[in-house]
Amino acid sequence: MQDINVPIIGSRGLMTLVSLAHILLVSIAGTGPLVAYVIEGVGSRRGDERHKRVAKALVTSVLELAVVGGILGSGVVVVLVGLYPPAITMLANIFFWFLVLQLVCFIAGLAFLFAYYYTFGKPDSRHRIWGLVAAILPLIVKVVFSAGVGFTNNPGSWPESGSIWAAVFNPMTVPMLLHRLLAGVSLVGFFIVGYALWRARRAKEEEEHSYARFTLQLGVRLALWSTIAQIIPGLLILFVGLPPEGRAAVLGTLLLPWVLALVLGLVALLLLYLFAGRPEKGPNGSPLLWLAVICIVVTTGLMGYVRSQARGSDMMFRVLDEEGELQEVPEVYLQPPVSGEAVFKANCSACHPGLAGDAVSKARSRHPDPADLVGFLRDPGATAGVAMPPFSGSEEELSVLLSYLLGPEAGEWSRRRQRSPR
Amino acid sequence: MPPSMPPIDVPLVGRSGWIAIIALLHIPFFVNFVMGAPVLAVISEYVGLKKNDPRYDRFARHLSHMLLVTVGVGAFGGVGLVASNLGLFPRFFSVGANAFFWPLLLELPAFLVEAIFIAVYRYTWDRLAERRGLHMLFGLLGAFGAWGSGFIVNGLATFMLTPGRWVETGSWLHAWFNPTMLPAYVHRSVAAFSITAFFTMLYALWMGRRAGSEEDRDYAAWALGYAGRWAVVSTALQFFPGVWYMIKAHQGTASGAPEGSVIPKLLGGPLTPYWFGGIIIAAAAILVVWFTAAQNPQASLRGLRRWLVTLSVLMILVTTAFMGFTRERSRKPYLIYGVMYGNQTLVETAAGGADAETAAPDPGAAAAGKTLFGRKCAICHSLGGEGGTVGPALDHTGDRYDWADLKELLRVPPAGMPPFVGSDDEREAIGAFLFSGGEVATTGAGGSIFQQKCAICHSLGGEGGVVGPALDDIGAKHDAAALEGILLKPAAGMPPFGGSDAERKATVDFLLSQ
Repeated sequence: MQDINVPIIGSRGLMTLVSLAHILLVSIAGTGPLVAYVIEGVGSRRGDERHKRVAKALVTSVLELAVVGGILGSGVVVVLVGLYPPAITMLANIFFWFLVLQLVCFIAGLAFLFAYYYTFGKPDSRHRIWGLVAAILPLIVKVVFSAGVGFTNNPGSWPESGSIWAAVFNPMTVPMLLHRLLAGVSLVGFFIVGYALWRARRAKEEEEHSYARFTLQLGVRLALWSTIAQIIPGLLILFVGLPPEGRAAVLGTLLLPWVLALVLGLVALLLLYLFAGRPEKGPNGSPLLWLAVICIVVTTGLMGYVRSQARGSDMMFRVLDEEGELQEVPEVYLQPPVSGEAVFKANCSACHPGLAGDAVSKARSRHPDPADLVGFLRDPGATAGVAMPPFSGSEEELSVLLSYLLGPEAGEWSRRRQRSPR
Repeated sequence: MPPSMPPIDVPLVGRSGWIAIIALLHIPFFVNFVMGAPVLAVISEYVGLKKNDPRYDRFARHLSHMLLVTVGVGAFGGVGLVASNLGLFPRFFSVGANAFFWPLLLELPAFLVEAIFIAVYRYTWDRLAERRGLHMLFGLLGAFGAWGSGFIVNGLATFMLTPGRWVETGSWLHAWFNPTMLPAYVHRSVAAFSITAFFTMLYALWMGRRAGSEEDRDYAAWALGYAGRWAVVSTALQFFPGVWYMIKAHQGTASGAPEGSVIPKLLGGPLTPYWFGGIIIAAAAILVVWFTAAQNPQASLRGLRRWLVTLSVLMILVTTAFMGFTRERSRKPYLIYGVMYGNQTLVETAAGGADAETAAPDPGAAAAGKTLFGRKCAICHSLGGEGGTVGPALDHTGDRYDWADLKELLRVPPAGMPPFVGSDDEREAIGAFLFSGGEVATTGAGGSIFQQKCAICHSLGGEGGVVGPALDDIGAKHDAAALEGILLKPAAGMPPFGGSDAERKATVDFLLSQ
């Protein structure tokens, strides 16, 4: 395949840009429904209409952010396949069914969020149920995402056991999930801060001003507490999730960007606390609040950089080196196919069963004679109307394949044939 | 190229069946509809303004609501199609993403424009009531994004049947603007209106069912007739891009593979029932719509006609499925026509486009392979009559083995032959040397002869075998004549030199010069 050269920003730069934009949007879109659901619940308990208004505004934005985030997600995948095909195809291979689950949750989550949105303010008793389901489904997405990304930093016991559950619940999964959840709430908080500043600017009557102040306080409180709380899963990632090599890298060569990220996060919090904690200051503090938002975005980017660099030079820590060569992987990834079933899966199962039908019953009904079947497999084009690639495996693979398709006698016949060449 | 991995089994439907199902769920609802609906909405909004008829506005507004949901769900369906291909057909998808990297990257902004402006179009309906021109511009921008992304994805889809000049050049522009790309795009564009119109008839039926007032019923009947006319005209128009596409597909595939053009399979071959059947069903759907929704919408909201209209939508979906199946099957046995087989095996090295490793060793490595052959193989195997006789002669290796088999043979040799111990690069070098026809330099300088014939057992400067003694100071022990004698009649345990007189002389000179 051809090398792809990304001008100016380079492969890593492109990857960083697309994934940072994606992460920011989906963090908000993923936890937004949950936050909106809780805010609406609190509002109806307190009988405060302003809560409901914030919740609805949040859901409206989340609908759009989720779609744009999803599109950027496909961008991340496409950039990865183009630039680092070994790593992304391997992840897709290991996590395939969980990716399917993730997509089902995406689509169902979005559908329920639309239902939640369209029933806002309507006398529909199912409104809260739609909201709850729409809040929970994206959390499942986050589990799969944390597992996949965490896996590239620490595959845990997967290389030895080959168990999918070892891959899904690798040491990084749970700490990273907690971290992402809190980061999501924090980014939603910052998003609400931005929304409040925008409302304050447009407000003319006192009622609108009071709503903007209320929203600002709400956003600041969410952002403050959830950002501070991230320290705990952050430490868990560092001391439990990362392998010793990764930890050493973070505390060694990556110390500068890591500390810088922490400092910027603290600056963002301080700005929030000093200039938005007091609503009477109003919009005066707004440039500084925008600065806080920028700080938190840079922090997110730097933390992502530190995590990806903590893998060292490997594409996937311990599993794939920088050239995309397999390192420590379960046996099935290294052994050439030996059983008939394995040969079949590797060579035939792209189409059988599926569009081309059940190969075993077709072989038995159309080519019951092994010699005939060998001729067919080696040159299917000779049979009119058949669109099948020729089998290009070795003679031994052909023998086990014959056993699989026609039974053990056919395989034996094929081995005898090899021993006594014409 | 991704590493080889255990393939994923999809129970019941199989891997290709899985892709087909996702594609069929994704394409009509989220590609054709999302392309057709914004244009239909803007046209309807415009006609409504001109005619001062509020029904058009209501129709367009409802279309924009449906669009918002379909764009959202469709975006994730698209990710689903990408993820499924990535998991189930990693080698194919890596080649596709490599050839289409830049177009696919361009698709991101196209998608974003589509999603953002379709949302803006829907949310500003009332806010821009006084500025309809701007509002319609937003709708058109959303449509522009959708049509742009369709233009890119259509390139990748048509590339699979007619990779065209990409096979020689490896250029992404040739891959994108391949022979069938334009006719297929026009075909899809017309289909966008057709599918949108058919789906909109379902919407009209639904509106008729939940109509509470006479006005609502009137509106539903009007919408059914309006959508029905769109359906009849756009579906009938498919004929022209269809013919164009067939001509281009014939030209594009005729010399693309030994199997030749795929069109005979459609016109009088195994795929005729699907291809011709699809056309007949579409024609029948046109007739049904013409005699129900288009001619008599009021009556078609109820009773038998209502079911006929619903049936016509199913019929057009069946046609879509049949035509998709025809295109996929006509391409078999290839995934990329003439380039990659259905089981993701590359047919041969296509310059710039294919993975060199699987098809043939790198010829540049042949020189290094010569030395390695001498060290590791020549003790038993001969080339050009020179070498050992324990194993078979290795002349014409390239004709007898393909590269993958030879590599495997070096790793797991037949009984009696030791496995090749060395790096992948060394294996590559040996292969390249054997594939080059083994132009072994039997009259080369003494140094290379030493490498070929002696170094497997003897060392010089620490390099070489350890079976025989090191030959660093051989000049101190033997003179030229004695050495020649040893080479002709060696002591027990060492095979005779077996080369020409000139070679023997060159080797002795080389050894004494050390």
